[in-house]
Amino acid sequence: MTQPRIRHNDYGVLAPPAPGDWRPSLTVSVVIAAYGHQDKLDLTLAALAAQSYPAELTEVVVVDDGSVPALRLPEIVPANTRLLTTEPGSRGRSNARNAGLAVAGGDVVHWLDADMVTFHDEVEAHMRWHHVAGYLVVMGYVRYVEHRPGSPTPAEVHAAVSAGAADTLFDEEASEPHSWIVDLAERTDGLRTAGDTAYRVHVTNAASVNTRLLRRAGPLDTGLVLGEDTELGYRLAQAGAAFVLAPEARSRHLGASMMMRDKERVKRYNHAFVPGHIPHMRWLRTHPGRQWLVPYAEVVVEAGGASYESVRATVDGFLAGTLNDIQITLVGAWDAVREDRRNPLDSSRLDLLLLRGLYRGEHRVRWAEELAGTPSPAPYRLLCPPGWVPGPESLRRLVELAAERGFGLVSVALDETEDEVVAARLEHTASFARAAFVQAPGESRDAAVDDVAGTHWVDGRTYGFLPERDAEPPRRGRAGDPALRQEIVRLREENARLTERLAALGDPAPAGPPATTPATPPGPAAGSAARPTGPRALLRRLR
Amino acid sequence: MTLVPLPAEAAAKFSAAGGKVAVAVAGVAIADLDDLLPGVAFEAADLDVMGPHPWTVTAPSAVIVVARTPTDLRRVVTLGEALPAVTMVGVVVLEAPPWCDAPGVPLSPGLGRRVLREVSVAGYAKSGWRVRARFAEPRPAGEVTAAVARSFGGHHLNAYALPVAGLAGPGLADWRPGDPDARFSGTGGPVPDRADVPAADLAVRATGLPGEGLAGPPTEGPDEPPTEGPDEPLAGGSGGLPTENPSVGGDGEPAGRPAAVWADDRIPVVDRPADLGWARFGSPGGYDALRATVFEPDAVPPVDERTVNPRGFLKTPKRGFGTLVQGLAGWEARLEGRTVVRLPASGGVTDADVGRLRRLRGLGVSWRPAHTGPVAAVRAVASLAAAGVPLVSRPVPGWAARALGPELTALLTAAGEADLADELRREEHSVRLRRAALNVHGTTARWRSLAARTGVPVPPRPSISVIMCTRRAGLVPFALAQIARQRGVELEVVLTLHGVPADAPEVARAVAAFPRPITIVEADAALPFGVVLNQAAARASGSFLSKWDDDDWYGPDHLADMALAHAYSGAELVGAASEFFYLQQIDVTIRRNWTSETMSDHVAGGTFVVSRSAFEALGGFRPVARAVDVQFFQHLLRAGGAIYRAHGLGFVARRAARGRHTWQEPVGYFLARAREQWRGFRPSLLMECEPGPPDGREPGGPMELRQ
Repeated sequence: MTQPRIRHNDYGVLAPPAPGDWRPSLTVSVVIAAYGHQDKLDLTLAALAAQSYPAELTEVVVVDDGSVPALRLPEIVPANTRLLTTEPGSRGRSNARNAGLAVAGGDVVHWLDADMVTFHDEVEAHMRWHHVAGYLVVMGYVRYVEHRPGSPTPAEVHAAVSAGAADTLFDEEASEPHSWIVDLAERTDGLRTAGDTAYRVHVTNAASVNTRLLRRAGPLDTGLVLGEDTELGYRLAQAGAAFVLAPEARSRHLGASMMMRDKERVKRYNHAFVPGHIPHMRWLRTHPGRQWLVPYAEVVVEAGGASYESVRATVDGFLAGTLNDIQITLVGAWDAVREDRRNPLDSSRLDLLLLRGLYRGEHRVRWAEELAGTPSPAPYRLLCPPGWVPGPESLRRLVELAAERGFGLVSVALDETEDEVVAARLEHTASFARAAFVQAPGESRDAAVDDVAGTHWVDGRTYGFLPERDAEPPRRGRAGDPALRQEIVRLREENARLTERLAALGDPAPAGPPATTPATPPGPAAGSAARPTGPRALLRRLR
Repeated sequence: MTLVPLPAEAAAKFSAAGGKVAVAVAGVAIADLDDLLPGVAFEAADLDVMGPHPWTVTAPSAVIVVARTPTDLRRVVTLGEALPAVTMVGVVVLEAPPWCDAPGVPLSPGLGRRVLREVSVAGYAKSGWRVRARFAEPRPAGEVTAAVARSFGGHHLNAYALPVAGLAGPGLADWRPGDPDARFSGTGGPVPDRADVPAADLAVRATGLPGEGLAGPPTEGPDEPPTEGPDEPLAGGSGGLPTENPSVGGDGEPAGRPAAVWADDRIPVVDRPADLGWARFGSPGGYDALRATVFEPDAVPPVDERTVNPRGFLKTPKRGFGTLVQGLAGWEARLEGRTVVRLPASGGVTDADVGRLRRLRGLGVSWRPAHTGPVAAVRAVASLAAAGVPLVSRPVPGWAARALGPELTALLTAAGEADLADELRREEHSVRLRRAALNVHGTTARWRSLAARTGVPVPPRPSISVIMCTRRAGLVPFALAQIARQRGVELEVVLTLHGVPADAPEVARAVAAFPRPITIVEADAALPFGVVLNQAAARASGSFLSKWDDDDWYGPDHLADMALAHAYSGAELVGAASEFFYLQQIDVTIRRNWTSETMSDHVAGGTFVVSRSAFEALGGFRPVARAVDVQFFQHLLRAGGAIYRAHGLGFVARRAARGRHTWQEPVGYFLARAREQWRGFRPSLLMECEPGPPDGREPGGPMELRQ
């Protein structure tokens, strides 16, 4: 299927079929992790058994995360339902979901909590979106209702849902939406303008995701006990996902969520654990000096073929940058480096050996034989040719430019030979992953990136890049930007030249101020529309 | 309107001689003059309605011309014959657009200038000017007015190309604005003689009733009954305030009646209805008259293209989208509920009006109600279009569509407000509007059209010699293809082969296939570029010389746009702004941020068109190998010439690998100056290029350093 090209997260280009009026073909695995609460699970399964989506395209995987007594499948269940149990030692919500995911055979995985009652067309409403694009995460619309055990019964739920009357089951007046998501949707035109922040909507109580995309992003991180679905949302975004809000995919959550019950304490916990995983949480990663689990940018320098000094100049430049939340990957034939223990200066690939020696204590520098296909989970990757040295602000400014304008690729023109432009490239991980989904045969990756996010070129000097010979090695106690200093010198010289020229032209103003304060051009004062002459015109030409 | 008074000492100079001062106003109410001229004894006449003897005072001590704008002043020039000879002439222009230069009094040497004793020029109010000239002996005030009016613009001569215009009857100054050579007569003729021959080649005559226009099949009236409006004045002049019926014509004959027989069989006359207000059609028999009326472009007073033109266009307007609507007295441009420009009942637009509209993103035209009448409505829209004001409209009513002409009508609905939100789309729309309006409704175009109808001979359009100099045989087919698709101009090519043999197969094939006149000049590879260009120019026969780059892209209207810009700006040299660059190595198109439609000191070197007379006066290019363009521009400016930089949408410069091109700046230089950039070859839509990679992208063949 030719994939439609969603730019950033603007899924307005998609035209899913109207509910009730189409012929589905994709299979879905509904994955439910459950711990206790057999009564609620019974209602969830009863509602799933009454779905409009074809039963032959649906499977349900229930994972019992070690409940005592063990959960069982009730009387009213969907036709194709399985029950798994997690092993002791690998328990927890993430583990249970991952166990369900491992056996899921559907084209789409539909996460569902074990205390949810879905409307009759909830699954269909998810699936109609997945039929139009293969890289979607679809968010259903959940309201939280009060629930007393025993009412309604599974049979009542099944009957009402079958009749398309799920909204008669609970006190709808007293129900509450997930207000945070509703606010976000309002601010972002239903996520369409959310850009890089769309992942934040990823709450897995009623979300669905294309299985191929999910497997590419990887399962839930079992290291996180809370905030794990946000973290997965972030990784899905790096794998190219677009996030769709489907308010027509309705469900009811039985009782309040943990976040609702215990908001401040959950937040406190999450703010300790989650930001390290998610570089986009800039507001939680404001510390100027520290490193995080996932860096904001990976910097790649091809070390093979360049001199030790060139690579060192480049790497040291990045290590001295104000964006220090980075990881530097040096690509080279490290496995082939052999240190000659007797005549170390005669070692083969001596320059690589020296680099390894220099940076062996710098944990931000890593060694790679080959460049990995994606820097994920890092959201940006900068590829910089050795011998080009960034200023302290270069990388921060580049990433800021890309983030502010949503560019998928920013190319930095550094130099040119007779017929080739030497460039550094800042690649946005999510855009390149998206481009891989939509790329047409014969089309370049960059062209597809331009479509889904935009590409942009900038001038290297403007962004503070200098050739090795002009750059100064970073040094403790010396602040300032060498590129900026050079620009100041250039402007001073230009100023002196223009001052001289002005003097040569002769100043018609009698005893005017010295040329160092070129204020107003000569000419009629009364709001004259005459063309500016003198300093202003000269300065304009400097542009 | 309260006018700022002239300074007392300036006013006193006019009163010094004693006696009354004769004042002529254009676009200004006579009642406002008391504010302007404190302590001056004067008698005033409104140029737009006055007859041949406008003042009772027989020997005025001075003449003062008070015009609202330079455009209004040019209407006085047309009527200048009516102004008496005096020893002191004052010209006051109340407001001028921001791009207007300071005026002077450039009279003909040996004549007026010989007896000129004193000139003073000073700013007036916010943007206006006042000029006073004193002579040793009386000089015709019309001649002085003509000189001042001309000095506001870039033209060194006031002349229009033939035919010389006769204007029979009152209120026709709009038909030949700024032309001191136009001659007036009564509606019955005859055109006065000059040196025993008629002083005009073709006359336009004011008639009262429509239906007596040019021959043609009767067409339908307006699509729906016109909205009732108040009684309209006979829209006399473009700047005229609403006035009572100025019915007394030059020979005392009431206008508004069928014209007398044309008494001059030496020159043809075309009848133009002077009154086409809807109120007129509402009166008995009027509707039949309307039905019979042939509404067509030629029925509308032309646009004064030398003041109402694209000059001063702003690419990034600061204000929003306004509307052009019918106000109480005439058309008004409104923005956010406030009136920005109020046009007179005639629908005439001035340069100062355009100046105020420049900061608007565009105007939406509301055709109904349109009780100023069809002529005023069409005139206003055509004038604003000629100025490049981005106009959009819902479907245009039939009566307006016929008078606007099909092309302009189609353009008005071709873009919507949403399209104009994009700066580039907005400018493209503006350029299309200007072209259509200037080519159909400009004064030169109008008189050529009238001449064609009546069989009056006119000079051929000036031809352009395209000088294309190349060192690369492989580029000749590409470059000639770019020239071959030029439209709307007469051209020849002087293909100058700089060290390339004419019998190189690709050259020979391209030359043989070229459909227009082509001359081949072979120049020795060792000669400097400037010398080679001069050799080529010596072989050129056109009135204009155009310099052409062998590897850049040109829109099919490039030369026509340059010819148009020359006609409205008056500059000796016109060229495009150097905005678009295709950076071939990285497959990116950038747009630089130049101000265009302005007098300037440089243009893109590969785009300029220079008049042959200016080229010859300068002696051609300097015999140097590089920077010939810059040298030429500076030479021209120092000689007192003018360079006009027109829009840059019809040109894309190619920036190929450094080793192959004259550009010395690295790619980063362009990127640092790009206001916008696009991936791929993305010229403006006006370039009419096929999508996809540009043709001729890899010209092939060994590349040498050019110049």
